[in-house]
Amino acid sequence: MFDGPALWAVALLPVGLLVLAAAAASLSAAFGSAAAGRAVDTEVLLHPAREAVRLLVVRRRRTSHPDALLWRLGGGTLFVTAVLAAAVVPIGTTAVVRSEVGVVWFNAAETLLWAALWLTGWGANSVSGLIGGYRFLAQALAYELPLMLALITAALGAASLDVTEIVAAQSGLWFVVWMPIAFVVFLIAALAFAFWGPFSQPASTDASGGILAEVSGVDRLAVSIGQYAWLASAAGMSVALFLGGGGGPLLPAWLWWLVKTLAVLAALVWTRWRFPVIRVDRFEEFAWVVLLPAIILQSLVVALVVL
Amino acid sequence: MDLTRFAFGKPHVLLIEAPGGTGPRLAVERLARERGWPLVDTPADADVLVVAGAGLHEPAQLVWDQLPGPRTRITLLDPDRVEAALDEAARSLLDRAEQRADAAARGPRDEPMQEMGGDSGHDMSAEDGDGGSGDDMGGDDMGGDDGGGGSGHDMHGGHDMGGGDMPAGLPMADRAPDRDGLELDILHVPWGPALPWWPAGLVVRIQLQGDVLSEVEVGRIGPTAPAAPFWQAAADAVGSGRAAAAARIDALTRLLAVAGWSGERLRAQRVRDGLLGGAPNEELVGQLERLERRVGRSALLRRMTAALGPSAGARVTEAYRGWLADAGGFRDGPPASRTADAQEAADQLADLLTGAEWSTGRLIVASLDPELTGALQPGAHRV
Repeated sequence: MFDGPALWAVALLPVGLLVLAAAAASLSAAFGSAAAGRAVDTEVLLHPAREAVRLLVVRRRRTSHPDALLWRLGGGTLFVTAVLAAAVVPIGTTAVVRSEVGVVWFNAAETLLWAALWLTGWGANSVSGLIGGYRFLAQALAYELPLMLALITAALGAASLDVTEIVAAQSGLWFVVWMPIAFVVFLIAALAFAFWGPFSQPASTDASGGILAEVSGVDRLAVSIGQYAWLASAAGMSVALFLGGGGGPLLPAWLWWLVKTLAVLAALVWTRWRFPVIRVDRFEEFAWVVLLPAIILQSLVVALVVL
Repeated sequence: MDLTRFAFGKPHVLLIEAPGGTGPRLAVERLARERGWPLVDTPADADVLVVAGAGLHEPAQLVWDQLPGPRTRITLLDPDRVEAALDEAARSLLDRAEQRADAAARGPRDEPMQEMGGDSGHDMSAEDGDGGSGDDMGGDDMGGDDGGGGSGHDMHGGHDMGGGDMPAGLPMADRAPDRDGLELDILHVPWGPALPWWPAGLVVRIQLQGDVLSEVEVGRIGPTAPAAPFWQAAADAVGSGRAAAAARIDALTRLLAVAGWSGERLRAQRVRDGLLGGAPNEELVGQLERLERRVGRSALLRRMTAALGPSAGARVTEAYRGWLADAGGFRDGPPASRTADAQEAADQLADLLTGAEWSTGRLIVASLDPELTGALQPGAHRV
């Protein structure tokens, strides 16, 4: 007998993620309007649709001797991996795919970003793209170990790699309360792997858009959707790992999860407008000298408490 | 069609400034901000190419060839005509016949460029027959958008297809010892003059190893038309204190853009436009105080701009703090001139940049403030 997830849930997952991605894009547009001194009105809700249609109309570019296959594969992988990651996130109490190793699965999907973003930068055969790609690899080198330890810390607290179990283990006390460092490290890593806001140096203005310098049309749309979808997946995962998942009074579990996820997503989006870009060389130092020792200490404390 | 009208309701603008284009550039930045038209980093994301000022014909053409299309371009000389020109650009994007003709003139899909010109007139228009080998060889344009092999000025005999050392017509990267004594590939890449958030007319030719600028040549292009007349006229219109403050905040907007802080960049633009547009003093004082708090005292921005190597040091941090301090006193008349400092920095630019990394190099250039002083004029230094 087929014992996997319901087909409708599998079909609905990408749609749901797209809706969250559009919400994130709208919110970012709202912050942008406010900063520019424009009225923040319903116009921002149309922003994601407008950009999507525009990018569908704009022609794709070709550069001189690109590795076209890998270049486009890189950008196209983003959304797919975001959906894969979201599959193990319990929406309320139930995930689309309940896995005994959900935490590892999420991490594995995230690791594919190393390849996806590197290829997006490298494939175009352009200086800006190449610099952006290298910047992302350096950034990944900085955030990856702290991220893994943050994931492991949450798993340690619940003595399970199953995200549903981790949510269940927080029925008494949310993990964020006694592992705040792990929560913060996870959010920093989320911004970094989604190359968003302060961690957008791989695609920053000083390098003419870095990995995105040569990407146009539908290819750019794919990367953009993938980026927002990853922010949404990460926000949903952070709620499951640290903010008690669907736990809360009165409202149904799925609604609690959604409310918390939107709140985290809003905070992630906001960082783009609040902070300048952090140069990768400076982040590298901070990650290895501050973040890594801090998260090791955090997991040690959690391990002692659990013992 | 309505869907297209919707899609291009807020066209993306690539704004580049030619010498003397300060007036139209400020007008474009203000209108784009008010209308919600994003100012973008790369031709790949642009629908409209706007050249503020005259004299960048050839570099602008190289950028133009990289816009994917639908696309349109405008050259602006008169600030008063900017609004109408932007309206016309938006209309042109929706003009199907016009866009079809443009696309047809460019050859097959996925091959946006046919003819490229190196900066010194190399004939790069050889039909190479393999689907776009000439693409994106824009030597002089966006910082480093050209192919991996090097830029236009290094393309001796660049269309010798399939020659031994030139796979696909691109020269192989040379090698040279880097600052740590390792043999590394070198690439020749130009910064400017047709680059957003870049001092008008400045060209910096860099030799790149990894992302380190191992050799730097500073020059300029375009007519001799420094920004001074614009700020002089502004001083006559709104008072010298306001004009001087606006010039400093304008320099700040560029630095914030290069530092990747779009939120504060937009807020700084509002302050600048308010200073030039006659906003009430009390409002401006509040906005400037807020800017000083958020930007001037930002620990993060300080960390990103301080300790940029032996020659640049904390120059960038000192620059934006100085601008903010000067602008804060806009009611007391113009602040003390920084011309001497700025001129000195401009003269030393090549030294400041040599050995810097790509991102810090861009920050150093953005801290130069040539608008304010008319520094970087021809003759100030040799190429």
